[in-house]
Amino acid sequence: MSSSKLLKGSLATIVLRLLEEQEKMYGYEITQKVKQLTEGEFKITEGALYPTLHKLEAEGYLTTETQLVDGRVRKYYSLTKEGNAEAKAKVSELEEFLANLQKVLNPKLGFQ
Amino acid sequence: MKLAHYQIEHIREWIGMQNIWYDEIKDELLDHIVCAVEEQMTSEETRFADALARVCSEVDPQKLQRQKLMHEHIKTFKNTIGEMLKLRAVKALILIMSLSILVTLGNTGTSSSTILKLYMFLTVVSVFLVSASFLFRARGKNPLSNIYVVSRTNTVISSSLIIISLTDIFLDDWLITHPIFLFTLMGLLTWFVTSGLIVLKNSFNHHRHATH
Repeated sequence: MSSSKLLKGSLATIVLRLLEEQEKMYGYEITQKVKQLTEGEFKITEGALYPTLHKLEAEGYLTTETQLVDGRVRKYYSLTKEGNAEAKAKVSELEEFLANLQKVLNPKLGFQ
Repeated sequence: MKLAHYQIEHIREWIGMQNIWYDEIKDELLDHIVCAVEEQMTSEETRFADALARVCSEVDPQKLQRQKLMHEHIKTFKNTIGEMLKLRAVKALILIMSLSILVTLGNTGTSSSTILKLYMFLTVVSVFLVSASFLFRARGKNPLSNIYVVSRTNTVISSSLIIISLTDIFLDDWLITHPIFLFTLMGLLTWFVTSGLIVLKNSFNHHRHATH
């Protein structure tokens, strides 16, 4: 399985987490932030990012506002109250999953 | 490196040719492509045409639109069900009326099997006819308006047909021997279909006034 498939499953959590840290972000900014944080290891495509953003928006976890930047419309996403709670729950769930995965991949570490 | 106005307009024209119905997707795509092209021209020192060709080969506007439509359908489905559940007075009234009529019918000697078959048939026919009239009246509007109406109509049609089909397949014989459950199910289905059609009618009228 390629890393992009692994990344896709965690994309909603990554987006929620980034928006928890930063008040509002636009699509391209999110892709660049992830690229910067992972030193280019994670590359989020628009084909994966925007459907995730639209889904989170439809579910009520994100709210949007638009601003005119250099003559074009820029859409900013930010967390709603429910989105904040969901971000905490999703991050906690992913951390727990990673800890368990670590136990499976490196069983010896569990006894140290 | 910032793109010049004519370069941004060139990208806007390309997006305009992609048959995208949603203005917000067009805006979002434009901003994304402009940012990506600017970034490539700066970091890799490529020409505008090369950077644009590369970025455009990586984006799939139709996929974005399909995903957006799917989310809109799900959202509309949830909203429609939510509105139907809010019709408490209508719900109670229809349930009581239905049960009264059905219990009366049941006491006239007509068999449960006949009542069930007749009821299911009339429900399917009425749902189809009323929904078809909504869809017919929505013709000629822009694709997004049609999708909105179809999505809301589909919430009532699909759900009703699924309930009727499952009942017919799994509960038919059992319901015939348990009339009280049969009448309760018919009352609930009557409420579902009627409240669904009331919500559709209200939303369709509202939508029609808004678009005129």
